[in-house]
Amino acid sequence: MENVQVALSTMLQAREVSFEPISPRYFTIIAIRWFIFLLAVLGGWTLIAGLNDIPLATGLLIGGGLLVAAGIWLAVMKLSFKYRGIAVREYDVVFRTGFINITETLVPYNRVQHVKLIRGVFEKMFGLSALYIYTAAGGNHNLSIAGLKAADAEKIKSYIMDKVRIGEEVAGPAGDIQAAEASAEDQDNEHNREEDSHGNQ
Amino acid sequence: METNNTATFLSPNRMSRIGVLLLFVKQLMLYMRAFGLILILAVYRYLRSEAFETYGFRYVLLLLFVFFALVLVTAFLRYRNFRFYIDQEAEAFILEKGIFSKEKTIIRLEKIFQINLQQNVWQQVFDVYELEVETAGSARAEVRIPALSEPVANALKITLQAYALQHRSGDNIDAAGIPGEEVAASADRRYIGTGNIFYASLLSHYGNGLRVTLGFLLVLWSQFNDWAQLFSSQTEEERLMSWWEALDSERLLVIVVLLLLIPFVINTIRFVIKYYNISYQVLNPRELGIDYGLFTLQHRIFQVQKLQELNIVSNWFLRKKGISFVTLLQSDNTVGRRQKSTTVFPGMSDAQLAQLEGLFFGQRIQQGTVIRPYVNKLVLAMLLRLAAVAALGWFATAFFEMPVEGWWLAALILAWSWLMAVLRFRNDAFYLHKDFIIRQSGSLRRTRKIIEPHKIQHMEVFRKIWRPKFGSIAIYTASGVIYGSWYDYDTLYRWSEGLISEVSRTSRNWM
Repeated sequence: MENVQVALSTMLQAREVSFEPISPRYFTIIAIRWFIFLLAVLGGWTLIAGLNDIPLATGLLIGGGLLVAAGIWLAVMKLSFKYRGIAVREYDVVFRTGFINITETLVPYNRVQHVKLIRGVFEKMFGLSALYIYTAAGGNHNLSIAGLKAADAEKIKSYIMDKVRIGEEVAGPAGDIQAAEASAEDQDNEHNREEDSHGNQ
Repeated sequence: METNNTATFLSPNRMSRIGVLLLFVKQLMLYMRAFGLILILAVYRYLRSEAFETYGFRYVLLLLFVFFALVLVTAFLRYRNFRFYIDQEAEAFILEKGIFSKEKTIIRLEKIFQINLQQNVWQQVFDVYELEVETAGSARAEVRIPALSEPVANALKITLQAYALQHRSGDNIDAAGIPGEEVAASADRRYIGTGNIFYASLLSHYGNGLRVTLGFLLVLWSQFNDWAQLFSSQTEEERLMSWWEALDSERLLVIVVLLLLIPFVINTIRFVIKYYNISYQVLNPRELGIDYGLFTLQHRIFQVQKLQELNIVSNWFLRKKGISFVTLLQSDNTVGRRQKSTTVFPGMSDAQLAQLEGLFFGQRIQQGTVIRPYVNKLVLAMLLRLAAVAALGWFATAFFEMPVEGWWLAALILAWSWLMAVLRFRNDAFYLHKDFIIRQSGSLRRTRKIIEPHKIQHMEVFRKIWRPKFGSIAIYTASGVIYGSWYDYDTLYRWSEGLISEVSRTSRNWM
């Protein structure tokens, strides 16, 4: 049985997955965050240089260096957009992230524990969403992709949840989603208990 | 063995009375560990001070008396407020404890996964058992009842297990899983043997022992510095410095050799004590019972379906003897609890391993086709080592006036590290089979991590933008990750696609 890709993308090839790119608007958010961070760093540097009597030439040189490094970082981010994407297929969802180290993450639906959409202040402003998928893999390993259009993210989320639920019906009452919900609950309880016990000590 | 009536657990129970003493000792040990050394130093200084000459031992004894009394009272209160019972209406096992801030733990009966009984030295002295309750969601124990007499401990264990089974409908447990039958199902108990444990620990865990020793020395050193400052005496420090200066090279060599030998000895002793007389028993097709320990007797029950990864570690010598280190990794959702969720069999024989494989997989582990990384990985590793040795040699020549002969030593080091790199590369492989994935790695010590495809949670395939031909893969299970780099990207891609469609269509649960 072939793992055929569904709907969102039009191009279908035997082996190649074609990824839905993320919204270019997400780059604006990255740029805004970058700018704020850069201002903070340069401001901090000015303050340090001013307070410590660092010669103007040295100060400018280091400041310029920071600016160039930040510029390169932003350029890399811009380039990385070519590789970022998500593909929703019949049996799994695939993320592609990274630029220097391109990472493709494959998550089969029947191992998904829960799905979450996270929207920050800027994301709300630009109508974007980050999609987080959780499996039972050891540690706090979460799988996420940022910068999806909010409507798309919502669609993908409900699609995955549907898939998970169908899988559960096929597998019977002991299917994964119940276990998933149960263990999510457990984790919450556990956190509470841990906090409690810390409180007692 | 007295079988207790279930009804007795339906109302609040306390631990065995002797539990007061156990809690007392436990608390005392805790304080000793925290303040013991400072206390000894303080007493030492007091004995040498003028105050001692005037007051003698009077106040020391009074202080000790008050301290012991306080600990005893706390222990009694702790004992009195520690209660546990089964609430049938809430379908839960409930545990209450705490002196000032009361704590109530509620575990739903259906969530109870595993119940362990164990004894440490003190529990052996007082002849009581500790009962641990583990739930499905986490690998660590949710509840510990530290002092139960043997009949009560056994009765509570059986009762809880029966309730857990009864409430866990939907989980298709066959009759073989009923814990009451454990005793009846007396399959062979297999022992690993102290000789095998000794060999395995001697040869396989030198690094561990070295780390432990170094850590210990570091802690000792930093503590010593702290105390030297705390008690503001120059003399100790000065004495140490003069002792240090008096060392000649011969004595230094002896000390270094001794220091390097310590890890061997400590490690071996530690291992033999910890895993003394380790044995296992297949209780039923779902459970493996494991017993071990010299001072702390451990009795664990390993749920077969909870296994995520099987590790087999060996080296040339161990393979000649037909034994290996076998580690079972359980699913674990909690961070930093990895240690707790592994079960180690040091020095297991090949025949015993075959039996375990049968239990866990229903067949021997199959190797299938092999994929190996590109030779570029080896070339890069050798170049990096060359650069490192060259840099070190240059550094030594430039700053420490290393004689020209020193380069012979450098060449020797390089040759050794190249040999290790070659061995590492030769062992580096994935074995792909329909039912197994084997990740093989290591140089002198060969590690094989074995997982079954249906245990996979998700996967990652990587490639660097400037060398798209080479790829890396990370396969995640509920207990960890298996990783390999510098493989053929296309192969990895096809493999991951195949695995994903297999995992998607499997009806087998990962836990």
